[in-house]
Amino acid sequence: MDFSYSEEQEMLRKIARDFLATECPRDTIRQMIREQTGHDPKLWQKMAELGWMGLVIPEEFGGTGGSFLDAAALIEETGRASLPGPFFTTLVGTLALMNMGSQPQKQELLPQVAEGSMVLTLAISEPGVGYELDAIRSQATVKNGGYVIKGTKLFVDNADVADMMICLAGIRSGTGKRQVTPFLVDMRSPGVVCTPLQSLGGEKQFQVTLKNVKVPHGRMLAEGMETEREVRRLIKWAATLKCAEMVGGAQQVMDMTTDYVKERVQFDHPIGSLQALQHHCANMLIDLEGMKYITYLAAWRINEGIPYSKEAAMAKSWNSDAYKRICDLAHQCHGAIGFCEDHDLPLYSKRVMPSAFAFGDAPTQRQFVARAIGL
Amino acid sequence: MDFRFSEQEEKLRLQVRQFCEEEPPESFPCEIEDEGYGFGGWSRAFTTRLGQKGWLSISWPQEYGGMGRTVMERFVVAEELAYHRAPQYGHLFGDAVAAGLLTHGTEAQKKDFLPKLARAEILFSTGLSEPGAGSDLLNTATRAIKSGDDYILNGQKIWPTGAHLAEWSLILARTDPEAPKSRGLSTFLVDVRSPGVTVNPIIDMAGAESFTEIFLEDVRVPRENLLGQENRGLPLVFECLEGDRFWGRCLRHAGSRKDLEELVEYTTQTRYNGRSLLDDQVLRDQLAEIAIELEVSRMINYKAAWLMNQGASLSWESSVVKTFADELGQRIAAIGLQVLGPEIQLQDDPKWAALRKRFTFLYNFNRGLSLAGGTSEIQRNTIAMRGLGLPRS
Ligand SMILES: Cc1cc2nc3c(=O)[nH]c(=O)nc-3n(C[C@H](O)[C@H](O)[C@H](O)COP(=O)(O)OP(=O)(O)OC[C@H]3O[C@@H](n4cnc5c(N)ncnc54)[C@H](O)[C@@H]3O)c2cc1C
Repeated sequence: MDFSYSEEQEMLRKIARDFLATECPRDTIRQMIREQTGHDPKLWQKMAELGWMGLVIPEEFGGTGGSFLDAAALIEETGRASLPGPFFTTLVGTLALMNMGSQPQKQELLPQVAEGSMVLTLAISEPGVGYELDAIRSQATVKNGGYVIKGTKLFVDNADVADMMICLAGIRSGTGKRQVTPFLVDMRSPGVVCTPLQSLGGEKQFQVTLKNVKVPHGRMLAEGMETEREVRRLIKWAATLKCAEMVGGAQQVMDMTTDYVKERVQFDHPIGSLQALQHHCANMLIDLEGMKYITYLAAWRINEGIPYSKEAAMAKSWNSDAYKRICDLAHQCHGAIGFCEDHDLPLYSKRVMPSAFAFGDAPTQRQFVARAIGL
Repeated sequence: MDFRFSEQEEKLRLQVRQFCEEEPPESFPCEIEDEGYGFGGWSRAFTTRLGQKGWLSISWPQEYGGMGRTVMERFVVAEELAYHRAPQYGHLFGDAVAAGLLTHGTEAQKKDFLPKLARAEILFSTGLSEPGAGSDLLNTATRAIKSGDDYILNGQKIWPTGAHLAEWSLILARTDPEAPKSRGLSTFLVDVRSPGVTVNPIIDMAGAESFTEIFLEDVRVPRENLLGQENRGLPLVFECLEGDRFWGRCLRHAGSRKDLEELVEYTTQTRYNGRSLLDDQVLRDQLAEIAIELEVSRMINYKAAWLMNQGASLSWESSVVKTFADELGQRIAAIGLQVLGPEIQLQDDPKWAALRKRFTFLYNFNRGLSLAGGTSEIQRNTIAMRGLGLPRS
């Protein structure tokens, strides 16, 4: 048994924490969120130089061949810093390419991702459809040796700055069976229209309409694989990384709250000496401890290649609910100051629900768990 | 990161499992048929059998009758026994006392008590709480006055679990009434068969005779039964309580996993109001939530066990273990009652009688767990002050 990150992972975390504290302080983040894109190419390039985009990419494709747990460790830090922008989707997109890409696809795209010149995003949900593959309506058809995709995608992160989108659409095989399949769609293709959405937490999400978008041959992923199984796997991996991001965020909210209640004085004493608030804080720490270890369990199982679907669903359910409880109590402890637009707390608390929704919300995960325990 | 058990730990787990299959724990007679902790009742016969296997003292040094194995191995044994609902109550308090003996006992005390505890020749209770000293142990009023080579004890203890079934008790008493409250307490190893000791069982709200009251009237305790230094009893007791907080609660996930499995089985086989319980989306959600919380509890428990296995002593971590486990136990009991419905009161269906009886019991008994061993409020104080460094209130 070993609950600790490895020395290298701790190093990665420390470097990430220091880097983000200097290069991406929260004033900068608020600025980035207020501005149009929420993406800073200069910062992106520095992150690429630190090797973050190439972290999980094998050396032969220009990366450093890190593990899933390495990715989780890094995402925990970007979550702690509430880093905006397309890093999360680029990482998940990278995993999609690695798991489902052909050799030529990997050779073409992964080195560009690693050097920071290719931003990836994910297009899964649709109007009226979350993550239920059977319900996805976007449709691809074979035409002139390539594909044509028609449909509407929702909650596509940073679509305006992404170069390539991993887009799920149904396609009929020779036998007539429809299978939901990921395609690599160049965002500059004619017919791709991005409309910004009013987001809950300042993230930059879009509706992307595909109006008969031509996708060339060779841009279909998971060819010759059990496609839907691969896609489900990717969604579980993404959910687990989202959990790691929430762990980082929750840790930051915990630290901020602890510091605040030690400093803030009312009735001549720090409010942290009041038992009502002590118990709020204790409840936050209990929830946070749970978030950490259930997330590490899921991430470790993915890392080791042992069955993880149930654990990933458990982690996503628990974290979605626990993170919300933590933020609720943090606001209560902060009083009015935490209610200000310019305070750091809303950077986290406003993102709880988007994170909870991403890759399947808590009730959806529990439906999966219910089946997994034999119900 | 690695959440596997070592080969040696897995081997041991198999041995315990095999033991439970060959000698089913439910075939041993129980003095307290308490299933509330999630780790079975109080059974001297079973405890003795565990002693013969060497599992009571598995992680103690060999020179005192132990097996010199790791804390993690001790944990594996306890976890596996809990899943099989083996009665582990009988040695829980002895474990706490043994921890105190190992760190603070004199050589003579260790040589005398530990081997007997290891073989379950003697059982212990912990006599700490008093009518005026529940959460506030500083308020302990029981007096111990030196008299020649002995101490004379007078006072009253209330709530010690199993003091009517154990030969010995760890008694906290005031040796210096002049000193500041925390500096005048000492701990004694008291033979409750001594003249002047009266032990009365108290029936708890789940109907079990699990706890007791102890009256001490001019009880003579030899000087060599003072555990640790005189007037330094309080830190020692807190150390021992850590054992109760962790070892008494770290088995929730294992014990309750079986409860959940049985509730799932019930759900798949039961119809109510003309439809299968399986189609009840609310119940499905609630049972899934319990499965998730048990997994969270398991990981929180493993984390604490892993820390201890490396020689670290727990502080706020065991409060997290305890609070989470105790409150989860109450949620499980409530949801179990919801699943079983009003027919939980029908005890004549042979198929479900045991499950119904068990949940009726759990629903009542689990209320006591967020009180025993330090209330959830006290645990949260500890988490806030030691875990987060918040100022004293
Ligand atoms: C099943 C069971 C088994 C037990 N076994 C043993 C045993 O083996 N040996 C033994 O010595 N004792 C035992 N006890 C006693 C147990 O340790 C006490 O019940 C416990 O410490 C609480 O004390 P009290 O009941 O006097 O409650 P009180 O201390 O009077 O508490 C009443 C309420 O006030 C709250 N409160 C008190 N002080 C504070 C504070 N500082 N901050 C916030 N809230 C506070 C409590 O949390 C609780 O909600 C057992 C109890 C039970 C229920």
